[in-house]
Amino acid sequence: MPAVSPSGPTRRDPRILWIVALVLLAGRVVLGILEERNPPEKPDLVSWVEAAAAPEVARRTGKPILYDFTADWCAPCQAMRQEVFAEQRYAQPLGQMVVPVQVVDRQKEEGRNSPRVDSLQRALGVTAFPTLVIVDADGKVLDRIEGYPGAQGVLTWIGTTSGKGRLANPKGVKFQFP
Amino acid sequence: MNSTLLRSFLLQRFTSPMRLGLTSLFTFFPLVGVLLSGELSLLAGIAGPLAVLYAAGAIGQDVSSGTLQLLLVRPVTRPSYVLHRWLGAMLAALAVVLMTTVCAVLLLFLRGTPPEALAVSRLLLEAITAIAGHSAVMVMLSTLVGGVGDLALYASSLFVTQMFVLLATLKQWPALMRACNEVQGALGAKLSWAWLGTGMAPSAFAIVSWVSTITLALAVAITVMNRKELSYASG
Repeated sequence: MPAVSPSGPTRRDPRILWIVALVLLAGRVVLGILEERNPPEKPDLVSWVEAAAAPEVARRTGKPILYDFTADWCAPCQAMRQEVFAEQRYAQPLGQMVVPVQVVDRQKEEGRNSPRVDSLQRALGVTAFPTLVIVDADGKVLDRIEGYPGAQGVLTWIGTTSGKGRLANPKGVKFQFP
Repeated sequence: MNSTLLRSFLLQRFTSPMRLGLTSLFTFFPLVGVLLSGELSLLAGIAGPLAVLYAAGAIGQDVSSGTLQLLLVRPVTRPSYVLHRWLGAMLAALAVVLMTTVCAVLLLFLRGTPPEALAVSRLLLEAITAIAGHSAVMVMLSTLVGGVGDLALYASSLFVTQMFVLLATLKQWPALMRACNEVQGALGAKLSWAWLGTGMAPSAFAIVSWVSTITLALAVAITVMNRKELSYASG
């Protein structure tokens, strides 16, 4: 900080700061336009839990498990990833309502899936992507949806279904954790 | 660096009963949430409000109380004064956020669900950047109005922008929506560190926007301060 003599003026022209600020403002506008045209891929903000560890986490936290059956080639799955799982305002409440588990299908890319992915898909009857299934800690299937109903739709569905999961749900079909 | 300016500002902030009361509110409930849910992310939203709280009236209160006239007869330049107020507000908010985070981490260890180092690092980096951004904007607003009028100015700006967001949503005007997003981004200048540890590159636009907001806010604050005519009779 520049010291001034006790009798000197206290004002200093912030010219350099203004130049830097205006250059940055111009850069902001240019980068904003560029990113609008080529949106960058946003990082996933959901703390996904390993499928094997999910039942134990669900029992400990009292939250139901959300299985997200997805695939890299599936456009609606990627839209859901960008609009829900990469958005702070959706990813954060999601993590508070359920134990999220992502199950990625690699059939198309590698010709086969890992035994755990296969058994989960078989056990929950997954035939399309994306499929979201909510299962309580005891393995009772609470509800499922196929397709992507939009960010708000997904979050509302998770909210109501996970809320149901905290109450007794005798109608749920029991599923054996692989 | 003028340590006297910083020390006196921090002393004033940490002895204000209203600020201490609000600080307890802003930190106590998220800590209870962390303890109950085991989610460290519940602390993510406290940095911005704390920065606003500690930066509110940073300059306006000195103008209203007449302290500024007395302060500027000492060998302190106006830009230096503005920068020290910004730095002081940042340090005050950061100290509270750090203490809250340490408490939260200890609670999570006691709960048996220790947080990941990466999550704690992200949380702290996001807090630091949010505090720097919010404090700069508040210091700028504080040069415009006396007392803690900057708080009212900040709240009304947020409210008006939200009204425009509603209008843009109803009328489906993407240009207005984009403009509102930019204003909201400037009022709550922060930087996401979600890319950390993912192998992805951070958004250049987000970084430039954040730095641009801070430099612009400080440039405006210093310019307004330079134009202020202060006299003992100014009231």
